[in-house]
Amino acid sequence: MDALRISFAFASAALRTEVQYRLNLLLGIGVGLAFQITGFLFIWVVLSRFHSLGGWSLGDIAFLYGLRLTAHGLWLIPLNRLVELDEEVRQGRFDVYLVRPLNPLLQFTTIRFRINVLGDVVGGVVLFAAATRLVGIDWSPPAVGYLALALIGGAALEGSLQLACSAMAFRWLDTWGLRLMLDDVFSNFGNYPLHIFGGVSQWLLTFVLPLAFVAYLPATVLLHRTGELSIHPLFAYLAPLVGAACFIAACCLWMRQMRNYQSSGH
Amino acid sequence: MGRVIIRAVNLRKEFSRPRRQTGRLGGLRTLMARQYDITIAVDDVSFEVAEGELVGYLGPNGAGKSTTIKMLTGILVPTSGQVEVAGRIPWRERERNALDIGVVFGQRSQLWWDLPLIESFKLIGKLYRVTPQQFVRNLDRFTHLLGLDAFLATPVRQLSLGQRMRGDLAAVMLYEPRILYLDEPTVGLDVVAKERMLTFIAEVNRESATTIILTTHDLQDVERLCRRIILIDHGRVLYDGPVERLVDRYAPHRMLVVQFSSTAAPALSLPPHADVSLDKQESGKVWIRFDPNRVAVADLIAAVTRQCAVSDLSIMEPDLEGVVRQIYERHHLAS
Amino acid sequence: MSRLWRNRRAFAGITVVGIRTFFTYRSLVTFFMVSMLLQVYLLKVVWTAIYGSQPRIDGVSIQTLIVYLTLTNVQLHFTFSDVPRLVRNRLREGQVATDLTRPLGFPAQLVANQLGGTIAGLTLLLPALPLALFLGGLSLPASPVAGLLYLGSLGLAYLIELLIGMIVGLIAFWTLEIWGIQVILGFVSRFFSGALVPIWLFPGVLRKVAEVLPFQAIASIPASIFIGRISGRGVVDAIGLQGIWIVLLLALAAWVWRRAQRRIVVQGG
Repeated sequence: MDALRISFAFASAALRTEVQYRLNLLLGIGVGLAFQITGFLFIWVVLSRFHSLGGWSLGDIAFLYGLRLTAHGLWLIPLNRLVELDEEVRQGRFDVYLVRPLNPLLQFTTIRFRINVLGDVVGGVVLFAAATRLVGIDWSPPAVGYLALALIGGAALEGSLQLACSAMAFRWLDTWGLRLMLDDVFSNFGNYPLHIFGGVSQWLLTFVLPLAFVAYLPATVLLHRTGELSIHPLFAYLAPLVGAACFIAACCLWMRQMRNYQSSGH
Repeated sequence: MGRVIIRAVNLRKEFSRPRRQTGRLGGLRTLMARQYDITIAVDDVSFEVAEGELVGYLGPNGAGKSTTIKMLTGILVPTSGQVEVAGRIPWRERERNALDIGVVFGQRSQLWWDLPLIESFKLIGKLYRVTPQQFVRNLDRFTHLLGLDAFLATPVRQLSLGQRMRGDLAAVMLYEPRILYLDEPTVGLDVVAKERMLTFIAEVNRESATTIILTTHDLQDVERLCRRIILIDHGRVLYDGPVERLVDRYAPHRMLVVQFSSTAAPALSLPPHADVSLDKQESGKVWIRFDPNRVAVADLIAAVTRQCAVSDLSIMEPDLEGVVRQIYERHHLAS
Repeated sequence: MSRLWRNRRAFAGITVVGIRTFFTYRSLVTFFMVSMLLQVYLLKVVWTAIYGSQPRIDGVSIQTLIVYLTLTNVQLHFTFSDVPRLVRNRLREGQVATDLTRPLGFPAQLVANQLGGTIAGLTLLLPALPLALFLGGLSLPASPVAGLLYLGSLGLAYLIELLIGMIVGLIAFWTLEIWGIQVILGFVSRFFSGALVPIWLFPGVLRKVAEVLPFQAIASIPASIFIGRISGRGVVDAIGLQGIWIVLLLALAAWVWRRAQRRIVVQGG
């Protein structure tokens, strides 16, 4: 499609720009990686002594953790620019996207690239790879296929919520706190098997804030633990669909909120 | 002139900005309850522009010029009123509208900051689906016209303001848009650069029949280029018509400046005419205001030279700046 | 000290500035508060799951543990030192030059500013305590004496975190890019302060590391006094340890400050 081809041109230009700032790049990736790895240390320390959390072993938890981190990194790659929307809207720099013959969301996300997010992706993949060895999954073609869908769906889901928050930038000019809070909730609660939470919390984190669909539910499918679920296993199998639906909804919201853009100056 | 290509009807734009609370615990109050201030940037603006016109859109800072343009280009959604450009509503059909228009913001560049200028051109070419032949032809033409050869390979962030503005102009012409919106394009440029830019704009309008809307608060630009100006202040149109008529209507007078041979103030008796008056008098020099439509210049000059020895005389045209200022002031007094 | 007394009005003035500045960071402030509350909740859930049906682990019941963790997290929020960000901003915007010429010393200005932030923070933290109680858990101190000693220990903990913040902040005089240090230090200090895993449950090697780092003095010591895990003679040792850290950090901070001042002179101010 035309638009995709042009976006790729934008994105490769963005990459060429970023590589100019090499030291910044390495520093950014390094810190990102360190952050993710240290996050996992808590679990490791705890489970090295206690061996099981709600019936899940260290390997199970690591698998879930890695799954979520990889999905997290996956949406960061196309949508890392969202953190810069507030400022561009405030400064009126968003004008230029609105007078060009390409979807503004596509333009905004591909015109620059914050390369330090690669650290997050690498961290996630490494952890996930290590975990799969510990857990010993039977990687049949359906399992691999489902894994791919789960990763994409999880990324789409988390990404869609961040996208929805950033859409409010056109109205509020400042979405930083909101996005940070959302990210905090996902980074903390997203890595745990939700059955250790009480019924109310579990329900909230499944149907109000669809955290469960990002990594927990797909993990139960791949770990053959769908029997533990208090909801119908079908929800778990269809998790990627939830992600896709949320993503489409978030894009529509974003385009709609764009009408509230006030630019800057007179 | 062609058919109407831009139509604005009763355009209105209100902005609401969150209000910072002041006073004790102001910060805490802002945290709790949000209040908004509403500004009316554009009150009621209507006009039509035909294809191929070169229109000057004039107004002081804060008049609503940029806001109007942003509504025409689809950047802002009007609070009320209609806007139609090339048969489309800009904010509803942004991408299709974008193919027909080119926008140059004086304060802001649309080029890729860290990449060489030529790379920006290539990206723009791709973006606007410019065919390779068209691209090469236009690139050559505008590189030549605007003198870009020397810095095509330079990253945009290293260019001077004048160079960058020329780059922006070339970028926008690469895909030959039907309409050009130039928002304060000469701001910050030196005299030479300004002149070059204005010449270029005139040429583009002449050769390609591109409709051009030039937003500015600099009257020099307008006098040089535009046949028609729209004057705006406080979000309302004060005048919309040919430049000459503006002058004629608001300041039809001219000034006859006479320098006498002797510095002694001569007793000058002017012909008793309602449209002739003494404006100013200094040692050996008088300024006589007259209406050229009612008074024959030759007669006036004869009347003066008959009375005293004259060493020099000249005729001053009304100054557009003064005219416009008059209009703004009159508008303020009325409102 | 006498210089501080002489400039007490300036000090108070900067404290007020600190209070005002706090409220301009609307988004950020709300975020940190909510983040803390969520963290407390998460820890309760995770540790409850870990305990399972065991009544005690290492002599501590789940209820007591939850009180401990709630306290450490709330304390970390309260004692948080904004000094690194402050120094970095002043340096970046060039106001440091004027700051350094004021009669009130630069370190004192930083302290005043942070105090302002802490006071302002309390106006949000105190109302949020009931929430912390609900999401986590609180109880009365092990004894009235423990309660009093807790407050004293908390004060010392505040001082320690302030000094660490000062040292990190002053590093900005050498390199503005201290955000990497801040992020890593943030997690390390959080982990080794016992806010995620109680210190007494650390595996062997990590426990030894935790004992030589100052971070346990920031949160774990006061909280342990509160729940009565440290009592009697142990309290004297614990508070003594906090005192030692204060002395050490004070000396280190003074030394870094001297070097920083020299660096300014060398750079031409």
